[in-house]
Amino acid sequence: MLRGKDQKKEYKDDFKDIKEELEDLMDEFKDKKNYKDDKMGSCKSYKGSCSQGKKSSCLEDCLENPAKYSCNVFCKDTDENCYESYKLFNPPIYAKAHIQPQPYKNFFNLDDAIISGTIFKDLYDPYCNSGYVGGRRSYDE
Amino acid sequence: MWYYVKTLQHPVNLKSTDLRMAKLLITQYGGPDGELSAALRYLNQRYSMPTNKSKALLTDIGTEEMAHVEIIATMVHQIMENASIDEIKKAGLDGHYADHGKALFYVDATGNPWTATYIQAKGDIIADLHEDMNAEQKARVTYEWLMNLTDDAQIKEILGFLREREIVHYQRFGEALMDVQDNTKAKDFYKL
Amino acid sequence: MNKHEHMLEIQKVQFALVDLNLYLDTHPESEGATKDFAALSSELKRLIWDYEKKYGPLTNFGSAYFQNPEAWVNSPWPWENEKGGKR
Repeated sequence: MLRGKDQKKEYKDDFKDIKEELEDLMDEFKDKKNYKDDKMGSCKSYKGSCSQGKKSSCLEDCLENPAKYSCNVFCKDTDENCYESYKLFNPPIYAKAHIQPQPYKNFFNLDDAIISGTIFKDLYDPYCNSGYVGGRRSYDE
Repeated sequence: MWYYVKTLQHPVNLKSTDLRMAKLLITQYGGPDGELSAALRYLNQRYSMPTNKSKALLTDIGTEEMAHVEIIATMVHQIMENASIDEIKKAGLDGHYADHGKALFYVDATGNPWTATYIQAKGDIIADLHEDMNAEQKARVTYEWLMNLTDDAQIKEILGFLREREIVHYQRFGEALMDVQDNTKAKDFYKL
Repeated sequence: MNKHEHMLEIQKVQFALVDLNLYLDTHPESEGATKDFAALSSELKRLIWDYEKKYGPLTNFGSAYFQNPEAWVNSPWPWENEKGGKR
């Protein structure tokens, strides 16, 4: 009916990539005490599209891959920041929920949309990649 | 101001006569995590919202939830309308029948009447949007449990549609919350 | 197309517009979404105009393209089963 099976495989691959990047990120965090100042170093050494001034493609990039290192670096010089993730750190208010903003892309056609329940493929059953199957969580997948 | 559009958001033409399922489906009509709760919650919260995005979102999602109330009602009605008294007794719907005949009513799966204690409006946008996100998740789960309780393909498809709507609403409320959180200076955070 | 098919077309476009409207509530500055919203909206109006001309009004309080109080009252109501329901 719909392309659920193909999507599931894609999501699994993406999830592995994002998971690895997140693990790298976590390791970096663990070593830093004052992440604001320490990250200045990482800003200088970072050579992503943001430091090259390509802010618009950077935004697209971070909406697609929010776990990328460059999307979560906080630099004092805010021009070095990708997307607006620096807002997560400045001011450093805790106890905030975070929902990834959704870019306008990847649509179902009208026939599939009314059956699946949304026009956005990205929002179609997004919990599948975590193996969440109707009330059970299966970490083995 | 509301106009009525004489159609359902999603077509419903059930062949099923599974009265036992009708008794369960009604929880999404008048139960704690049902569509009526959602509609009344959002339409009520919108009056005291400080941002236009949240006023618009609550109005639009609230209106859509009223359309979902109609879908659930249609499902229950179509399953029940041609039922015999024996079938009603067998499905454990004789209590409902004594009080309401074959009419619908705002009750949960065990007959408890709808109550405003199912919803809340705290008058604080952060708390209210979190309540809304929570409500959408609870509704999504309820649809999953209901889908587990039936094998009927038609019913499952409609429930799957409604389940996906809950996920989309969750995302939208989350985006509205992000908009509030990101655009608020630390010292103004508590004033919202 | 017959009445049922015509209504299904309306439901598909109408549904896409609902989802798009919600997206625009939280992303009002999205140009792509705004364009698609306008295009689909025209499409919906065209479909409804054609439907109402044949089968009667789809909305009340004078907001339909064609007024026909008798059809408003007596045309089938949405919760009635299309196959063999009570009238």
